[in-house]
Amino acid sequence: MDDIAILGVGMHPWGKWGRNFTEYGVKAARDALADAEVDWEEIQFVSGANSVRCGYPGYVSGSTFANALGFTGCQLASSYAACASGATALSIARAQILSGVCDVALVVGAETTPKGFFAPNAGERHEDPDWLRFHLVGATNPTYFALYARRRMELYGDTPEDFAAVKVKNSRHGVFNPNARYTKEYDVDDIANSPMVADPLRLLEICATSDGGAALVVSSLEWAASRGVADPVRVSGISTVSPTYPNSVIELPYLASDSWAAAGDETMTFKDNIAGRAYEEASVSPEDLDFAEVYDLSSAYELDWYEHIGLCERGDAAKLLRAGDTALGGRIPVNPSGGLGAFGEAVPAQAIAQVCEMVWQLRGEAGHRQVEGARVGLSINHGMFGHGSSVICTR
Amino acid sequence: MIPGDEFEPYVIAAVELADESLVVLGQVVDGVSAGDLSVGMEMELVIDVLYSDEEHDYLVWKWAPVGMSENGEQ
Repeated sequence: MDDIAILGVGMHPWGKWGRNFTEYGVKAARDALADAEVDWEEIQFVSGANSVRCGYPGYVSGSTFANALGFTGCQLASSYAACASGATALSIARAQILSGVCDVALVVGAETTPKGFFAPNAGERHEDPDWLRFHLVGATNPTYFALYARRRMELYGDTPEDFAAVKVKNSRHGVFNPNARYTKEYDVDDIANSPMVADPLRLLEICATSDGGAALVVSSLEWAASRGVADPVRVSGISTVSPTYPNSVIELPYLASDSWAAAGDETMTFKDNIAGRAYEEASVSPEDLDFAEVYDLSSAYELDWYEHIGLCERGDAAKLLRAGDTALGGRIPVNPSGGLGAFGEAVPAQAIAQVCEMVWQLRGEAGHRQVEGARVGLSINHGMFGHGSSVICTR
Repeated sequence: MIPGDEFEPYVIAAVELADESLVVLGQVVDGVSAGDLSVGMEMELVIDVLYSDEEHDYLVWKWAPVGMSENGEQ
């Protein structure tokens, strides 16, 4: 797969600002344009990552952001893929660029979130799995995170102390990130003393819902060169794969797994395949990574990703953590940005924010959270209902 | 969504159906705490009341430890 260039990145700091999401997207977009030294009028395509929590403008985010920046007649797309929306929006921009439809594009996602747990959209919708899981079982997002954590404890012997150590690590990284919402360094006692939310996960181990915005200016390598950018950070792989049948792990928001009676239990799971596709496109392997940004929806969930992206064998993630391998200064730092533990989640902006962090790292502009000499980074997450999301950036 | 002061914790189990080879989530019946459960325990499906209004009881599946009702454990 051919690469595209990332010319500029921008973010609106994460928080609970309570303002119109468009403001966050516009701030992030203007920062990305300034970073790229590209004028808004030069952008030929806007790829918006949608929000379902911000009314109609959230469903047509490409138009919403373009209008707020000043309509120029450029081409638009708006896409929703839950937490994968940002990667999907980037993949559409890449397709437009590589097919020659446009040379330079703006990718934007932003959201204003309500307080507390995410809830289903309003209305009684008896055929909507996302409504049913709340209504019939009371299965909130942290319920699933807790079940995944229990699975690790049972299968691999991980402990609540291991999970707390993930949060401690990420909080130490987040201290150095001006865009993070939480910049306090937590210790294990802080976590042990926070309220139990979904046993075994405590409040400080579950990612908050946040407001935020993130944006990228991307172009063809030729267009970048024409602007004098000879060695840009490149997007070398994007994965937006679906699960394969049968998926023996229950995905949000479903109440059951597939049956593996006929096909036999799979060995490569959905989340293994998300990373696999990105590695394949980028022609790199886990050994080539200098760092990773993974979706720590919970502290325990970060450990699942170590295995899914191939940093270690299945079941060995806690060993990596305990050895300090995944902390800044370690062999393969994970979530140098502070991750969701330091940010909380602004759904359509989050996968784009992961890419922003990769760009800062690969340019050597990450300040006190810099991974020395970073050349290859991977970000990964997934949107509920089965939207894969992974991006590999190289320099 | 924020629970109010009246919030009562509830238990949810992921139960593997041995013959069908799949896993199904459900609430666990009242009287069982998370600490009462362990991975590998045998569970059975029971029909329980999800909620009621003036006209109906609305029914739902729940999981119960096998033998719970016979042993009178509540």
